Amino acid sequence: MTEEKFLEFIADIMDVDVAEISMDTGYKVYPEWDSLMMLNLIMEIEEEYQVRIPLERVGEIKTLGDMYDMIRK
Amino acid sequence: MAKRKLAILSNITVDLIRMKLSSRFDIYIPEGFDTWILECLNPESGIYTGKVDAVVILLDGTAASGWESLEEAEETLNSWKQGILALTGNMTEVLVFISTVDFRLNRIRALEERQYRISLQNEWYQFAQEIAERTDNVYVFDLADVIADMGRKQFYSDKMWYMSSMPYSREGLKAVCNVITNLMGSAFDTRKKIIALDLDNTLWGGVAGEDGPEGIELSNHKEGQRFYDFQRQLLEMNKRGVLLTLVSKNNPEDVEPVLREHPFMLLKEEHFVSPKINWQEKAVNLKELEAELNLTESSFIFVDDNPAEREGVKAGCPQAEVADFPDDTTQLAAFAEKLYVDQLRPLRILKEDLNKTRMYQNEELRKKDAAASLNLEDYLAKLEMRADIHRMRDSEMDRVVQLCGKTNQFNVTTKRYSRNEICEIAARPQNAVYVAYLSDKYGESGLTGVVILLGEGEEIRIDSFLMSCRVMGRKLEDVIMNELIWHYCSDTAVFTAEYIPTSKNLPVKDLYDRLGFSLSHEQNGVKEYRAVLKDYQRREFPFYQEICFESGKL
Repeated sequence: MTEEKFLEFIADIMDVDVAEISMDTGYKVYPEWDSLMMLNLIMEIEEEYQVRIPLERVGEIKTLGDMYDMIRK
Repeated sequence: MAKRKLAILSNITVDLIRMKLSSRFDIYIPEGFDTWILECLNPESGIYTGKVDAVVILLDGTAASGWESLEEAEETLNSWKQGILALTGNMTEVLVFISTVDFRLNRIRALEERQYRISLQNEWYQFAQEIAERTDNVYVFDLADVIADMGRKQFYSDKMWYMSSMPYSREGLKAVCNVITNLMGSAFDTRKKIIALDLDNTLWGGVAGEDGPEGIELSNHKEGQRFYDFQRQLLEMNKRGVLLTLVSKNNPEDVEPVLREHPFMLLKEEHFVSPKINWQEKAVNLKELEAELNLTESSFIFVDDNPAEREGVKAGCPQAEVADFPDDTTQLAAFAEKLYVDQLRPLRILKEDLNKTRMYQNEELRKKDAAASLNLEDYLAKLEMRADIHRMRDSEMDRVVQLCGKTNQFNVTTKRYSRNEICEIAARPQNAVYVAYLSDKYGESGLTGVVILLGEGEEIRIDSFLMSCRVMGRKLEDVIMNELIWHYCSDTAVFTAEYIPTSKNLPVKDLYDRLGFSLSHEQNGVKEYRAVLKDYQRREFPFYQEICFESGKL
């Protein structure tokens, strides 16, 4: 998984242009990324990358970069 | 086209469903968690004021694991029932879909402690089904079966439940969205009408012309059963009004023994309309079928195992649906079920739909009569037709609404009426809704004509005049109008009428001219007509064996 592929996947789910987002895109800062979209992202990411994001760690996600790091491990 | 407005009422949070379906529907959800019952009880709530096209009541039984006893369960069910009774009492036009419920009782409890799950499930179904049966706009959909089909482990996600008060997994969410989309499809989209089937390697395994009737794969056990089961699925659809036909490149003499005598051939000649077994291109055969059966290309689904044939039909008949035949033929039965649910299933099946195959077959016989006749009247006389025209009875209302809703060609004003609107029109003493039946020596065509008359002082307005396309060309419109004019004829009576053009009703463009009305006004293709009924000369129709008006005979 590359950062590029990850962002493409996220943009697809958010239904936005990939150029609009980056690793620094912030949760509840970027308007498309609200709590409902967070749920949607977690659901789709767990399926796509076959990972489990524990509920305890969801609170640590502040940017897309945090999310990327979490699933890469 | 504007998106349909759909309300989802639920005891769980359905914002994710809205997100997933927002490209297809405009979705309304009441504010707050589990407020759906209040929403139903409050006549000022958004569900009543928001002009929705349909309401889906999506009920979840996850909370049942916390119920201490049957009494607590009953309490919840009773509050749900209250909400639904209020909703269906207030909403008599908008379609309402009520889900069945999968009650998830705590499994630490022994089986006998939670055995009431089955009675709860049943009680809920009986309650919803009873409303659906007595209320025209209410339907039940089997959410619990969708869950059973997928399996709870897959359908639910505890994480989603704790994070969002919505217990569906990604797959579960997808399945629910799919169910909702299919319900909307059945309600608002035109359904396909006919499946055109290949034979070799589609209805049986192998090639009849090479392997012979004994050599093909078709039996009621093991491998051969996959084709037997596929045929059974098609037969079930046929019993519910789906037409079947054959489009097969074969020598008729090679396949006829299979169709007639094979012990496990469930589909027989009587189940097909106008089968095409020849060496023509399949797209050409489909075009011929369209013309013969008077169906549009978009009402066809084409099923063939051969990708080359599928491509040929896609190119030649772009409006027809070419189904993705499964690579793995063990999936044939499931494939058939999906075709039905996605593209063929209507919301409700009426009596008229059940004999459809026979009606189309009779039409073929009539065409043979026509070919052997000198002229139209000679042909019509051979049919030994009987017409019955009378005021609509309550039991006929569903069919009248159905005809108003789907008749395009012989329909002078193309006004679509709901059941309630028809009820209101018919209830006023100055109005009248007439229906016409036609039968002939080949059988009954059933209720196939509707005329709506509105009394406006001295004048009687023909608000709607429509006939099913399968009785067009039988002079039935002349017979109906002759009887109505004769019935209303007086020194002062006047009929007014109107033709409103659409892309499909060209066949009736000059209907009123032909019936002797005079054109009084024309603008943008809309034509206004009048007919003074005084001194009307009653016409005779010798080629009709019997014409009954208000006699209640047929």
